[in-house]
Amino acid sequence: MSKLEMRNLTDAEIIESVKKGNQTDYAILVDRYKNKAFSLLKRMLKNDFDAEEVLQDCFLKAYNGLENFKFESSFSTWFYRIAYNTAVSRLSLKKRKIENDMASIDDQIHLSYSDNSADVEQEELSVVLSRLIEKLPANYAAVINLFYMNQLSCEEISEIMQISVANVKVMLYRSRNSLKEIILKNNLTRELL
Amino acid sequence: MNRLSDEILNKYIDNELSEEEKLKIRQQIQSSEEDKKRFAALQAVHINLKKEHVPEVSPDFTSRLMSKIMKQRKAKNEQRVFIFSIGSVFLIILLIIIGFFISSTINTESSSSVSILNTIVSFMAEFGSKISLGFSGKYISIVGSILSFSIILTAYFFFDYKKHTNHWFGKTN
Repeated sequence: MSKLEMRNLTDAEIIESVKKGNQTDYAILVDRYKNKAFSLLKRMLKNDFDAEEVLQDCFLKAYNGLENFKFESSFSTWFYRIAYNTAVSRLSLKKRKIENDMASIDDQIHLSYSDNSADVEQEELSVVLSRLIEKLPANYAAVINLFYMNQLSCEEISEIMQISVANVKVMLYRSRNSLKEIILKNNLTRELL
Repeated sequence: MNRLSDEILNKYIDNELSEEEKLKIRQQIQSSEEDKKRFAALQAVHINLKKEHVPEVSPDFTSRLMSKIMKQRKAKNEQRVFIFSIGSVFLIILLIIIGFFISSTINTESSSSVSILNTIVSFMAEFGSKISLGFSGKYISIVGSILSFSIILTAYFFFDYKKHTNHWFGKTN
């Protein structure tokens, strides 16, 4: 089967092909998820190099675990869970203060935009938001990333992060509210009104 | 009228409210300048986050990963072959030793004309004594030499294998 034909196959069909011994077909799955998973890891680890290294580990873990993958959830959910858990382990390994990086659901998050306010007014909203997402605690950044960039539902995110749907929504709302407050404070919505 | 809560505004944006509730919120937003600003800001966050671009990994990421996977697979196959080879060598040595003892036992028992049961019992007893004899007296040096040689040979191949795959050092490439 050509690579072009393979690209139209579902994840399950590609996995079956890999399980049958066509190891090179795994590259199709890698291409399908690498950027979105990289986005999640980059926003959690706040570092491109670490994110790429962890991403490689995640794909290796997924490949080695493929034999035991029973399709109880979708491949994407399973893979993002591996990525999320590996990122959490990496954060602990790096001996960062995990309680700061992984803010508790009971904690309020306080973002600040410390750049010169005159510059902020000149910048596009999307640029400001990108910088602010970098400042979110790892688990809040993960929720924002999975919801917007990976376009997953709150139910899927709860499965990946192993938390309740209600907690996912709390984290999503809090992240948005913190970003909203910065926008209001810096009067970035002037052209929207 | 009280200002709209952040939770309600978020639910409105996520389309989690009934039509009736949505209508009430729209009316409130139109009538309150502060709620209008807050809603516009939240909506701007929502819209811009949707547009946020997905960063890309380095272009050769897939090829590097696949080559690592192939090397890992090759190493696993080599490990299987190695374990099978070592197992086979040990089995052959064991069979040779057992064969040697059996042949020497049968030779001494061939002339007896007792029942089959007695033959088996005496064979087992003789075999046991030959085994114990193998590990004592004049045979100890032969058996010891064979075992030592096997262990040294296994250790050499094992070390050589590990050196090539770097498994001791946690590397797979």
